[in-house]
Amino acid sequence: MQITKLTEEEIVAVSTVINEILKSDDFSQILNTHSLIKIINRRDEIYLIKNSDSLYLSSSRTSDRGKNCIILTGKIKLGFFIRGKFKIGIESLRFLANYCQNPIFLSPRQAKRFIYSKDINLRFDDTKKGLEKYSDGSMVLVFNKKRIPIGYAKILHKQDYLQLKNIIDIGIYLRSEKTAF
Amino acid sequence: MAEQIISWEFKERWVNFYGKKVTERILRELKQSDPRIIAPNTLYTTRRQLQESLESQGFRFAPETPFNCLTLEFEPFNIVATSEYLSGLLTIQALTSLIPPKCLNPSSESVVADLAASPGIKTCLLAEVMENTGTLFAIEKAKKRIPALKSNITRMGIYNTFILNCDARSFPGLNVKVDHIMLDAPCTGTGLKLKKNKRLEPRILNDVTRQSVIQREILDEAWKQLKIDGTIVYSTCSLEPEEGEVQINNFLARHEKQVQVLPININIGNPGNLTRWTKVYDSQISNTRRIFPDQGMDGFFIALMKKVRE
Ligand SMILES: C[S@@+](CC[C@H](N)C(=O)[O-])C[C@H]1O[C@@H](n2cnc3c(N)ncnc32)[C@H](O)[C@@H]1O
Repeated sequence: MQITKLTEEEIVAVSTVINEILKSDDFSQILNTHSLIKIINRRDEIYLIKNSDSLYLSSSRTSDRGKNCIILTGKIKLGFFIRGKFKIGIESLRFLANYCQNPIFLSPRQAKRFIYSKDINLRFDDTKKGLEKYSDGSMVLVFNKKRIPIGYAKILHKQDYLQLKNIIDIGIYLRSEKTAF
Repeated sequence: MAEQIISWEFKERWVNFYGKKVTERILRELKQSDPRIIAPNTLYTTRRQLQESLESQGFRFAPETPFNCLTLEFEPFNIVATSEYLSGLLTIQALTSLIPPKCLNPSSESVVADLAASPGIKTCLLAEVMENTGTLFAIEKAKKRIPALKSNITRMGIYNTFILNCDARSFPGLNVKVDHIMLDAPCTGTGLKLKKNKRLEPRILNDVTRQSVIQREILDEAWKQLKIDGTIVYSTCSLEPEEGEVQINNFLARHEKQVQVLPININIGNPGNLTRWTKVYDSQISNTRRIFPDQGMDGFFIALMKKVRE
């Protein structure tokens, strides 16, 4: 694995996307919390690393078996870069769901449509929890009623409704079943 | 259909090795297909939670299943379309798959290698036993089988696993010593029952020889990478002794005094037995386990070995 460091611009690109999804100000703060470290490996250091165009959150510990030998002890793919732009990947879903401050919950019917890759239209009066506070174009984490994270969407303000534009959803595992099994 | 799949040469061999009665049972059972077994992903849910959630959608389960699993009795629609499946709260299993990770039982901080990983059913179970910590190398030679492995590992929310697309026989090139190794070896699969809509390729005796050579080579290379006191679990879904008892017996002879065969602590199957094959063999073989397809699962062989000295 060819591991490279992130440039300043890339770090900004990643933080912007992830902060927006989590509705929290500081992704790097989350990086430092104990709970995150626990998720990957208790006593380890956490890094953001890049391998070709993919971005991973990774943990490592210096090996006791010799100098300069680092053993990676965990990795989560967060997404990938396309021409400098950071795109969130489905692999990050379960992990980021732990930190999401402002999730959107869908009814069973809506959730089913969503994991079939469809966009969901929400009437404003549907949105008991005040969806109007999401600005046009912002990214959200979408859950079903059972609190299972099911994907990412972009909020689009339409004239009299909000659209959850499907960015990526867990149905991808079914749709790619032919390659998967 | 099983008649077409298993040639008479195999039947004759089974009669010689297991006896006529057992062979008849084997042949009868290989034509059956077992119900679907569901294993909860214990990193993110419990069996009870999963069961309740699926039952509320109309799925029905048999009263009891070993290894903390669920047996599907009725599916209102294909379970792979549920958000539970898609978000990795469950895997569809063969019951035998649960045995090797359970026997190996790695601690959460250990370094482990799965030497023949795709599609990763057992890899995921191993990562669960490790509680998603430590380091797990998933090694798979066939490039076209990597996407399935990747998909299963990411769907299940597993973070401690690194996929390596290489030959397990060149694994020593990695230059890491590991605490535990799982070798669910490539094999002829003569112990597998019919799967829904899936017909197995017919097997020929040549395959047995070919596969057992690969198994031997991987075993020997793996052994070099194991730390002292480390353990390796070897398994195949074949009923052929060359891929099971005989393979391990030869391994013990090649690595004399280095290996302790540990008992398999499950009450399914029979102790490995070579009395019908040869007069002289290592008595430790009786610590291995042979499972016949009439024991509620596929035919299977498993051995757990500890490296006691270099
Ligand atoms: C019995 S399957 C493993 C099933 C897997 N353990 C599971 O539970 O999902 C054996 C796998 O070993 C792979 N294989 C065959 N020869 C290999 C080699 N020399 N090195 C690594 N993998 C190999 C095959 O492509 C196949 O995917």
